[in-house]
Amino acid sequence: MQFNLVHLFKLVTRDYFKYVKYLFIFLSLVPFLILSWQFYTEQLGINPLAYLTKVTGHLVIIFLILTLLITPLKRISSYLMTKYQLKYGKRLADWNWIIKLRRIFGLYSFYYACLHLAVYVWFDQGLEWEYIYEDILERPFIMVGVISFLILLIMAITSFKVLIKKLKKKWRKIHMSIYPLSILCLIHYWWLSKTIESELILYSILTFLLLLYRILVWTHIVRIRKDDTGMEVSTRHKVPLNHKVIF
Amino acid sequence: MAKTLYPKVNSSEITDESIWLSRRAFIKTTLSTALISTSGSLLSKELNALKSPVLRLPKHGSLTKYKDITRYNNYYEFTSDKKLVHHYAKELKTEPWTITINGEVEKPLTFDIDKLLGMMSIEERIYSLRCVEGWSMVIPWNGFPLAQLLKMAKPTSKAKYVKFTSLLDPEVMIGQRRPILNWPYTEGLRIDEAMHPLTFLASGIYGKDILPQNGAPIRLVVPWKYGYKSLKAITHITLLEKQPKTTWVDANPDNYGFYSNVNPKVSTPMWNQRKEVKIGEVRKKRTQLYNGYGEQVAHLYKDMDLTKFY
Repeated sequence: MQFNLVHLFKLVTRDYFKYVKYLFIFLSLVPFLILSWQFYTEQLGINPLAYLTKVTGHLVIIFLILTLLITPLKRISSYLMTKYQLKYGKRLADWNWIIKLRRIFGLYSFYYACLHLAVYVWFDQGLEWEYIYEDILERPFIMVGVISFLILLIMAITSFKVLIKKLKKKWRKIHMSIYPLSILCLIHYWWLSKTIESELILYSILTFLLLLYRILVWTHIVRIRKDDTGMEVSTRHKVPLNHKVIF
Repeated sequence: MAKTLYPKVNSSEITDESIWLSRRAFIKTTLSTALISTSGSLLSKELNALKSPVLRLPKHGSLTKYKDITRYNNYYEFTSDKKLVHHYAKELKTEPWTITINGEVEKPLTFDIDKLLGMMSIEERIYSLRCVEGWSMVIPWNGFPLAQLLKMAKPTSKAKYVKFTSLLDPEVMIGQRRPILNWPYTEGLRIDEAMHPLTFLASGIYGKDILPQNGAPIRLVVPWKYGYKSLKAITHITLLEKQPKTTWVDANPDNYGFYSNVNPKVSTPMWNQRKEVKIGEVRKKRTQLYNGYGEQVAHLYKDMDLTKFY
């Protein structure tokens, strides 16, 4: 049998999605594995506390950006495939598997936020709750961090498939809080920075572009695609003929 | 004359504790002779008055490793990444170097750095350096009290403040190509703080010539203030009548004050100063008022509201 790349791609992405899923679950865990290895071999650098706090914080923002990237990526890719009627285009346009990565990335953002919080509460503040309480009140960026964590916690709890089906439209509304959340995380970072760091600018630009995409979709492009509800669970819709594809 | 009084050691080598201790014994003898020789002339009053507190400096536990001191640096002139500073700082040429003392002085002076260090008797001070970011190091500095240098220039009665200016050289100091701070880096002290015997100009660490990442060829050390007060690579010391603008206050007045005394009770929106992590340790420990030097310096701020003048 002749080796067919597109065929293979189709197989992997559609029929063997679980392997793609496991691959991404593992890849997202790699930063944690590296950190753990550095922790046990005492390679966290000269100031381990500062390093752990910084890296876990960055991972939260990176995974939030990845989460925000999924919806535009799915829409744009399927639009391009359909528009230019590429060979196997119809099959590839059915990139619904991408949307399933959104939850994985979102949950990893929550996972790294838990680590970030644990480093602060345990290593930085030494579990002294009175001081933590004072610290939240004294330093606004800590307060912003706590609020962000609570939002992320609510989103993580409501991310079970059962709840997605149960909450339906409410679920969408709850999970739209990723937009204010991503801004809050950046405010947290801006506020604690002594000077403007290059990572800070990079994250801000990426988040800005991804939010701008949403604003443009909502304000300038009329939403006609009834088949794309943005939901993860009900993916098997028939695309009506003569529909205007808009991303 | 040699830059320091000690034999030169290969900088890649980590100082052995026993070697360092033997050097200390040597330093102690030079220090006492230096005190005797100067007591008759320049600093007799100040030194006699504060001699005992100086000798009873607070104990800060074990010294920070030389490797950590030279690999973990805040030096925004190069980069804000502490671990990269020592790579970029290699490019800094510290010879020739002149240091100028001007402003409200009877005798403005400009020294070649080697000549200046040759004139001064180099002593050792073990100070704790407390960074505003919440970490600290215990460093054995080599150098001389700032007061000795200022006295040579004879400050006039108008001299109320001292302004320090660091090198401006965007060619080498690549961090200065971006306007993240108002370059050159400047800092300031009140004249009584500057004349205090604890206020030190350092040209060496662990008995070796100070490396560029630590502030070569000469830097300020004010142990009871946050680390950013102790600026590096000094080119100008200017005596002024009015309080000078300083770099960090200029950049962010809510979080940085002119005095910047270490104070666990004064928090700012960015910094909570109750605790610090000593480099080399894992757990944070409590921070002390004036970084533990209250006995020596508290009288300077007797009638001041420390929460207002932070």
